[in-house]
Amino acid sequence: MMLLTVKLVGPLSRYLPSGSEGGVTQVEAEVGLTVSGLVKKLGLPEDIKCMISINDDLVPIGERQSRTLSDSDSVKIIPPLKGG
Amino acid sequence: MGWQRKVLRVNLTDGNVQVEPLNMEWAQQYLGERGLGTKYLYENMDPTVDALDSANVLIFATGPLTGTMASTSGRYAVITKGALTDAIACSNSGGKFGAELKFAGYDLLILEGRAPEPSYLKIYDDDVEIVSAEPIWGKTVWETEDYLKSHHQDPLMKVASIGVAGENCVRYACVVNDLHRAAGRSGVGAVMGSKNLKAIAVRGTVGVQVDNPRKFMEVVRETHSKLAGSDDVKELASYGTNAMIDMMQEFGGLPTRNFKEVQFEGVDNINPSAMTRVNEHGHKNLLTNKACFGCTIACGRISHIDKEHFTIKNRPEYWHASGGLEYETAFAFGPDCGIDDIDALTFAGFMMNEHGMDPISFGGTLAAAMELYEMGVITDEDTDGIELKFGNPEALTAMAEKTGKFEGFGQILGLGSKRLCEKYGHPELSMTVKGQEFAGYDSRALQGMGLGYATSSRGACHMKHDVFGPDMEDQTGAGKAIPCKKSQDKVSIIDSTGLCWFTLGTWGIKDFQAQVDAACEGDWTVERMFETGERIWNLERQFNLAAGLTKADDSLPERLLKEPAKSGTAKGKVNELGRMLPEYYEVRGWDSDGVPTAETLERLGL
Repeated sequence: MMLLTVKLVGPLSRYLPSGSEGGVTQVEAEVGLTVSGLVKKLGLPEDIKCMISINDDLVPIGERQSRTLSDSDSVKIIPPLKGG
Repeated sequence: MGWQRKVLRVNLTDGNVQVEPLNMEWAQQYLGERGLGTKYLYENMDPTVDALDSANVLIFATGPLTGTMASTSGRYAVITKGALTDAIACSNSGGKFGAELKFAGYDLLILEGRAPEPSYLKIYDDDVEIVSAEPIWGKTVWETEDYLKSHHQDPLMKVASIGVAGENCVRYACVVNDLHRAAGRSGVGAVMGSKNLKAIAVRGTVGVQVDNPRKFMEVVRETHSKLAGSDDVKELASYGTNAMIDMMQEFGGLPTRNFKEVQFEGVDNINPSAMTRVNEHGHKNLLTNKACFGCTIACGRISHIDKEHFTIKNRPEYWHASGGLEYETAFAFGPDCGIDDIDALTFAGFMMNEHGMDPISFGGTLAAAMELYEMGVITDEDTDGIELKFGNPEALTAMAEKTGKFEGFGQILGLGSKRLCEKYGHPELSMTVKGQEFAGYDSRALQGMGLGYATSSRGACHMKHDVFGPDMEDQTGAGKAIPCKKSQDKVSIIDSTGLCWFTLGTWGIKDFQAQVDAACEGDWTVERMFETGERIWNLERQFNLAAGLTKADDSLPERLLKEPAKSGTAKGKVNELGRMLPEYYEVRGWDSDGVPTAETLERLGL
């Protein structure tokens, strides 16, 4: 097993388990979990439009199904940007 | 229909008021609002005249959907040569003023010349009068609106006005309507002030008609329904535009301390959560949200300030509710100036609305002045004894008020950051394009945003293109030219409808097209919408080239091109404008100097 730190930013924080603070939760996951697998595990819609970074490195959409996570990774899931 | 087919032309110099038929050939080529206003500007003035010269022309333009039952149909635009940029300015606003101008029977209001004495314009349908503004010259925007409604005994009157900042031609003075909505950017309020025009007070009763009412109702029912079920709309209503501050922080594209950094340590004190948090005095910043005319989103924030806060402790005149923090205000006063005091930010926002100034440009100018102060170039002697350090909330609120009232160092801040940095011998510290300050998106993290900033007709602006999708996917300059060009064309046509582009998270171009097609004569296809947008973009370019702008004005500050981002997803990156710009010119059908080729102009009927 590995332990990930996951931050769901802004409106996405509604997908966090209750009791999470600052938009952050710790996720226990099996070794080999992919970015797409994490999205599913968190209960986010699979087709959700968002940016995902691992340790502040942006993961392109095309790599989310193959990119595996490592123990202690810090993952941020950020809603799509738009004007404002 | 959709159009009222009437233009109100007012010569402020000689007081001549004329109603003329709308040029329907131009309406078919440029649609309305931004596009049609640009065409009328181009045909009615010499682009080389100084922005503050009486020969500059100031146009208030509605779109064919302004004032209709379509959602977000409250938009209007102010088009002129910008006092901040010396380039074409097109600054649009919501609220209720635009719809009222349309209800009075006009597609466009064209203001020429300069009034011999301070004046305001009263429009009651066909009854148009230039009136002495003696009782309100020197008054704030809020006092002006109160006075006009009271004086004319008409609380339903809609008012667009300038504050003391506009009267004194602060370079980024804006036109404020309905107390806290604004045509905010590029100094359109300074142009209004240069014309001795304090306000436009309008009341309309003629209504708006559309070409195919049955079809229009069907289409509008569908587009309303889409918005009603949209998560994007729910988020905008719940969090407001300031939701963006958390996203930009985590992405690492939140410009901080005059763009020296891209993440701000105090963001949790000024984000949407902070706006709804109860403080130690039992005070909560956010009261409610608010919609513009016809809008079913309601992204606007209504806030109040803690009465114990230093800004208003003994000033009950500011204990009321007013326009709260939008993202750009929060960014420009917060991270860009290194300040995380939410009540100070809110008070400075009140100052912008009350005195009529663009918060993005004011914040950007103050941030540049703070950097110069910390370098020792600007001293306490210059700043009226105020310590202009990053992170000082007293400096923010005092300078916002001084600039609004055109007092002391506020007069220098009123120059805008380009002129201010040049004055102090450090032009490289001005974070601007074409003299206009950046919005809250750092173009080292968002490469396509940088290309959009550099090529925007009105100078640095985040609202003239939409490259967020490609920028979220890839942080290099590759493949950004085409989406930048296409989105500029798309935004140009949306800005010409009378609708708001905050619908874009839910509506596609087909939704706009269907509403335009039902409301307007002529066959408005998606292809024609894009072509019209491209025509508008190229006409704006032609205006700027005629005004003397060149390829050299399509650039970014050295800081963004040479100083890598220090943290976040773009750590180590600079903007790759040098790679993107030649490709962009080619995609646009412009030559290597950024001039539209003869073939491009001919294809677009220019």
